[in-house]
Amino acid sequence: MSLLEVKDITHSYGASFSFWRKKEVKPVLSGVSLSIEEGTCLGLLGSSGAGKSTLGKVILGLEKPQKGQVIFQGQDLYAMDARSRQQMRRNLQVVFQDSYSSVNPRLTAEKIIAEPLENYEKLSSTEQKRAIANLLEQVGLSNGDMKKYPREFSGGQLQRINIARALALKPKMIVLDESVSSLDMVTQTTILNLLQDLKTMHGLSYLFITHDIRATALYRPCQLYDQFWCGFFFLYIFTNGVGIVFDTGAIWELLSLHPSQLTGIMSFPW
Amino acid sequence: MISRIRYTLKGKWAFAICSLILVVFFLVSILVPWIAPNDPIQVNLALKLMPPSLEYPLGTDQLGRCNLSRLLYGARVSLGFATLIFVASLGIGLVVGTLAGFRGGWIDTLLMRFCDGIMAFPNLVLVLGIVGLLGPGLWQVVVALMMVQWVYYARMIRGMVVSMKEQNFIAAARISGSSNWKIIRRHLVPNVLPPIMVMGTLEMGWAIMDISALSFLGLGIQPPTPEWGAMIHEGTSFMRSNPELMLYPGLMILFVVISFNIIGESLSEQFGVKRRY
Repeated sequence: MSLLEVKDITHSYGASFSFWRKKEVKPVLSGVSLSIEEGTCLGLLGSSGAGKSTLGKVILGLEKPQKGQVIFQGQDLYAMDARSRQQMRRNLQVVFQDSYSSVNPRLTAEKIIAEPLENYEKLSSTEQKRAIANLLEQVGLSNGDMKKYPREFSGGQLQRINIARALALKPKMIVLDESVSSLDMVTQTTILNLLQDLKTMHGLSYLFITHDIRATALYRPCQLYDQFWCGFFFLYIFTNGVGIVFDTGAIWELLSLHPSQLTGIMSFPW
Repeated sequence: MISRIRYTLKGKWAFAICSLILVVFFLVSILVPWIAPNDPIQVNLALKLMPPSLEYPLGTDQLGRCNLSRLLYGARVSLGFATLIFVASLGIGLVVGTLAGFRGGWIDTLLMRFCDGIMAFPNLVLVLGIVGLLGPGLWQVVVALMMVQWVYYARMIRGMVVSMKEQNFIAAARISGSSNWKIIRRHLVPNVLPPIMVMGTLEMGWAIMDISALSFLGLGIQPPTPEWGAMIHEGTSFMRSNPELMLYPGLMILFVVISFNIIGESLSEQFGVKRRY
């Protein structure tokens, strides 16, 4: 059984309502399907506006699709009641692109990372503190950073805090929604290496959403991108091989015709 | 500490002076029973309309009451009730605005159209209508002003909640398993309140003006309780012979309202908050 299975998702955004015009509908996703096995990763690639982030939101349970199913660990995410969906979220976490807007500016790093722990694990305050210190260490920050506010961190450090928050519940899968796109190359590399290490340590699955084709192809210092690009990219896109879901609707097909706008979904076993 | 305050206030002398004025007024309104030289409602017709003396530093009014004491006690009424109106209308506005912005849908439409309805009336007319319905008196005025002012807070808070709701940290909190209530309490309200407080500073000035205006019209506070607007009203009969009876309370209102407005303006400049909406 797959960890995550997305079946035939169709979604569109309605333009704003007005009295004297017909409501415009902007289709975003049409019939997208994919699946991720436990412990493997999937790269989701597309130019901006292709619907990557919308698909990410649908998978995370933040945006109800108009058609289709999201099945996580054998259960339909949109058919279950609120309580069991909350339980499901333990295993499905996210790291967004913009590290600054993903944290509440009025909370310290400690409180930010503590939030998922408070909601799911009833820990005593010393245990919780220890858990947070442990998480900070895993993502390469120190204990002294606990009491700092988001404005005192750099973008890369803040992204590490976001990763620590996503890791706090030991999830099965993390959606990385353009998680490294807004960072400079050096920081990108270190964060990608960190993600690679954490993956092997915890047996995580990633859904790796990115638009960044050329910049990432120019350098391949780290294994994550190495495999992502050189090992599987052309093979999977153009031969429509195993695990690839490329018949994902008109928008995506259209964009995929030009190599610099390659759009599609690739699956690669690690 | 002192050097830090000095640095913060550098080049903001207007802000500093106004804060000082307001701090003094607030202290006075709290400490007035101990610092007022005389009883503000003690009538003594033998001493009416006296010039300033040692016992009555600002003279007496037409009923022989100490002007200074009445002014000081008036600060208590004006500031106290303006604060009350501010807190109460902010409270209602926060609940309604957050509910409308967070839930959206028909609740949002219903509440906001109701606010639009209230805003469609000129404020003073609406307040006069409510006071006319409830009868004159200070509490009626407070209720009426509150019923008008919360709308502005509600609208502004609703707008901020709607835009903040779409931010990533709210989505991240949801994925972290936080309930709606926790998201509101921990993420929305702490981020919405500070700019609203800035707007509230400006509204305080208006509230003081409104209380005084309604008292001047005889709808607010009833004699003999001292209140600045009511004092101006009582002074109108002696405008020719004793203009100071109107001048003193008028100056008090002027100072306090200007202070609130200047502080509010400079704070809103700093925080980038627009007045109303």
